[in-house]
Amino acid sequence: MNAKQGRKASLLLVVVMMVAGVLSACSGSDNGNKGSASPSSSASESGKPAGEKSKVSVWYLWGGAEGEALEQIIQDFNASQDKYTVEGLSVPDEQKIKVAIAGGNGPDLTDSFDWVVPQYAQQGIALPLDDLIARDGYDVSDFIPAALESGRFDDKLYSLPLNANFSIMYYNKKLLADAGYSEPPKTSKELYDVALKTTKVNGDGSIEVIGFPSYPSETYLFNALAHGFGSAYLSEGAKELTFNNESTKAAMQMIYDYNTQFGVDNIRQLQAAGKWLDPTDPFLTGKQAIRFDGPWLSAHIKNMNIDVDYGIAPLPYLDGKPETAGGGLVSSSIFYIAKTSKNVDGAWEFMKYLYSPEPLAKFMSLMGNIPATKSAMAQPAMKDMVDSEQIMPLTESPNLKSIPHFAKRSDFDKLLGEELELMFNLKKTPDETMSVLEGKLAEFLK
Amino acid sequence: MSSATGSFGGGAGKGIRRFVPHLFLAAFSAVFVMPILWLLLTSIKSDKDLYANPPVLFPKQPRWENYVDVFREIHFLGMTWNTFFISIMCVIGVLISAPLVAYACSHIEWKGKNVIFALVIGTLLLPYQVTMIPTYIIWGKLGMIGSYMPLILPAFLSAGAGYYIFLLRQFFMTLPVSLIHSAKIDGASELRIYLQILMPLSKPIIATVGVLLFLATWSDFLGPLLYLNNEKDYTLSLGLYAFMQTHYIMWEKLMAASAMFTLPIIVLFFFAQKQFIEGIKLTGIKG
Amino acid sequence: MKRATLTGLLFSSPFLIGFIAFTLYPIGASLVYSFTDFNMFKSPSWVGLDNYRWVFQEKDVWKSIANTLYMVLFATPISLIVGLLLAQMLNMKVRGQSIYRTLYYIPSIVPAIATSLVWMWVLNPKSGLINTALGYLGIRGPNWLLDPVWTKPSLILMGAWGAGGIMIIFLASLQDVPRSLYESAEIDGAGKVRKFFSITLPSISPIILFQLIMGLITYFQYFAQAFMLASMTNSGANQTMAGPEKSLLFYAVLLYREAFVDFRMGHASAMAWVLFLITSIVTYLIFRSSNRWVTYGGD
Repeated sequence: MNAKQGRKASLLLVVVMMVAGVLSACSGSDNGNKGSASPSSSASESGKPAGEKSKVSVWYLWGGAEGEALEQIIQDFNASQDKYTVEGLSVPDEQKIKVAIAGGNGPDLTDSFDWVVPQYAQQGIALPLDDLIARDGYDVSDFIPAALESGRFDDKLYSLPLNANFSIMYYNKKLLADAGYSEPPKTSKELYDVALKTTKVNGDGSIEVIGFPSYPSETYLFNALAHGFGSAYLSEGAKELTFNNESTKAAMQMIYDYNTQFGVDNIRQLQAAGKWLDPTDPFLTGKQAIRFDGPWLSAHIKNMNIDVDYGIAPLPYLDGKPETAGGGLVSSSIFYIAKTSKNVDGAWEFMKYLYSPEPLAKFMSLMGNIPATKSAMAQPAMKDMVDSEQIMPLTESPNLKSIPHFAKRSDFDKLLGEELELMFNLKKTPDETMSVLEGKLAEFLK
Repeated sequence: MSSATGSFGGGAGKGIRRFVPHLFLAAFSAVFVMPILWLLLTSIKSDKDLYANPPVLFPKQPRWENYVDVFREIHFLGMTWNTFFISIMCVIGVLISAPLVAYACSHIEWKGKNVIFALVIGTLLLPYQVTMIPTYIIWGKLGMIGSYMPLILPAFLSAGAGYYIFLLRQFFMTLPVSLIHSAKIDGASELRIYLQILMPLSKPIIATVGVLLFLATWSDFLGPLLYLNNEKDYTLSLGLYAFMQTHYIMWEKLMAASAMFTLPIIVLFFFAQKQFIEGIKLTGIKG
Repeated sequence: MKRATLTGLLFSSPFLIGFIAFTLYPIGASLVYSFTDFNMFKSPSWVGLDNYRWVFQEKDVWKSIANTLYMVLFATPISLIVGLLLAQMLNMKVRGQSIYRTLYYIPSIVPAIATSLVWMWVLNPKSGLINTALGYLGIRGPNWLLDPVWTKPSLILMGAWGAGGIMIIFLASLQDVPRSLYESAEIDGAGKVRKFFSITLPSISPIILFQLIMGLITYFQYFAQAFMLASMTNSGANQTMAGPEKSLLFYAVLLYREAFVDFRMGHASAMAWVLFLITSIVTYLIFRSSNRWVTYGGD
């Protein structure tokens, strides 16, 4: 008993000692923080020209190498002028950024994706840029129109696009050759033929090689497929629902047929077995014949030294409608200024710098993304982007579209996802799904 | 299972019989340890092993540099220090304030005794989602977001410490009332009784609460995520996210960092477990 | 004021200040929000009972209640049973006991993000630990995290794996059962199993009650693991955080989505209050029933 108590006491002693250590060191760390928190003092110390530099805080969702690439641009900006000091911060969670902006403790400038624009505009998270653009006579004609429009809601521009993302078709040359194809599929019919011929099934029905772009997910596939086939969900300006068209229906039917033939369970097994762009990704292990994905896949394959012999082609068009060739759905990563920003001018200055040709090209080529401005696309840095000579020409297709924004966009996307999922799982037929969607989706446009 | 354990404990068991529980515990612990083992094995894989096709479980050539890389890519030491600092401050805060209120609802005979205890239990039932947003707004108004205050100060006021108050109170209830009574008759003040009689007797439960609390704050994610706005102040649980990029996960580094993140608390548990279990036992948690 | 009252208040004052600032005020505020349309940017406007009406009419809320009850009803008892069995095992006197205890406890302290990633491997339908093991037995395992039927059992397995915290408390209580009870039972010729049911269980029934309530509270508020897994599994942009066919849409997940994705603080506050009431009622009912199955030894 006594020995036990002794041990307990010694544990307590350890705790006390740790505490003492903490308290003595605590003041030191406080000083350190203070030093870094006042940019003016550091500026004067380093002998820069006099005058207060005002702080601009930029939060971003990227981590690792991508975050470092942005930090590099931030450093370049800070060195390029002496009015502002940009401080970058990698924040792994978008909700935190929103809450912080709402509470007035957030960043001045931050990033997201274009589909949040209607929501952020209505919630009052993002600041309209029109006044700043007008004041400085900033030229937005350099941006790819479809990408620029993705920042517009209710006739105001809330964000600028970094990149123009759309799916392209990657195909595994060896798997296609083994099945007797020397060329990638060009039409919907050819696509399905290739998919059927290249899919290899094990004895228990599980899929060894998947011929269809069902991986990474059918939700992702559906949007690419439908737009590749020339569908548009909405009319210009989101006035009318044009979802029910032959292209959409063909995309739905094709996924439904493939899932019926090879079994939902088997496809899910394959999807769950490999994580996207991970060592277990079936395209990277040579077990997927056709893949729809963004141009970053090329960069990833090169960076990771992955041994896969692939080709790149535009998405297949709907059989019999060659005029829709080169179609696709464009989406963008965006930067927007927070409504509660305390340094709007500084944020805008940095934004303009970031979007100038050289920094944007530097940033985007590293991420394997197509920049959203023509001048950045023409930069020499973009030549370093992996497969740029095949990917760049695809950006010129007139059939690339983006979904026009409207107030209830997020509800629309949610419902679309839910109903389609039931169809992918064969719990509803394409016809049933279409009739439900037609009725309900139209409601969101009112 | 029952046959294996049944043969053991007969008292006469020797040799093989003594070996049976070991076999059993080891076999069963494999289930628990396998995932952890995978974590450790992944943490020393090279790119080549990670991307091996078909996948390999054991790295052909262990790459210990992954651990060094962690230090290179995030401020691992700084973040460890921050995590430690916040955790220890919370432990101190709760250990100062919680026994006080636990005492007030166990050995002080006053009107509020049961009311306070009911409030403590009430906080246990309260989903944190109820208070999260208004609390955030308060800290915003106080201009303290981005500092450690929102993470540390509540501990000194026992906020969110209902469970620990409960454990302490249950422990105090097991102490003989006569001890306190006789001290009172001798004219000792409540404060003196608390400091000179109660506290010395409560070392085991205080150690237990300290360890439990340390474990909880060490891996807290939501609090630091909400309130820290400067990479210098980040804790480890936030820092780990640097290894999850938009397009892929840096498995080997994430696992190496996780291993180092978990190690201190494993060591703490290993050495403290006896006292720890003893402490819980003494509370005789009884409804 | 009486001296004792003053002392009581003084001793409770840190807690009371904390309670007022970090519990009472926020509760009050969120109660007010629950009757308003509020999004943190625009000032709240009064909408009466609309938010509560929404809670009871929205079919996603009902779906989330069903999912949450599934976890409460299955995960709570399963993790308690696993925790108790582990504690029973670890209570055996063997050499290296503290190593075993640590091994079993580790899973409950690994950071959540690492746990999630590790379990994505364990549950991988092709190369994962479980399905590989099942494969040796000639069984094709399910698609765990992508099959709406198996998503919640996956989470229950994860919960059982991390039952170390529950185990520790049970272990302490097992060591507290008086040896004399077992000894006299042995004289009566009771076997292992009978001793467990007629002595161990009744003796630790107060702890079971305590763990049961803590477990219920945990699973009513179930969030972190579901949230992480739902956002990691579907590789595409999965903004709904609901898992396959909404099978991981738990009450707290939906609440989080309403609050921080859609910024409908009124909805979220009303949901939080409904949850608070449900938890309180269930806890009360369990307390009421406890005198039928909980025995307080000796005294």
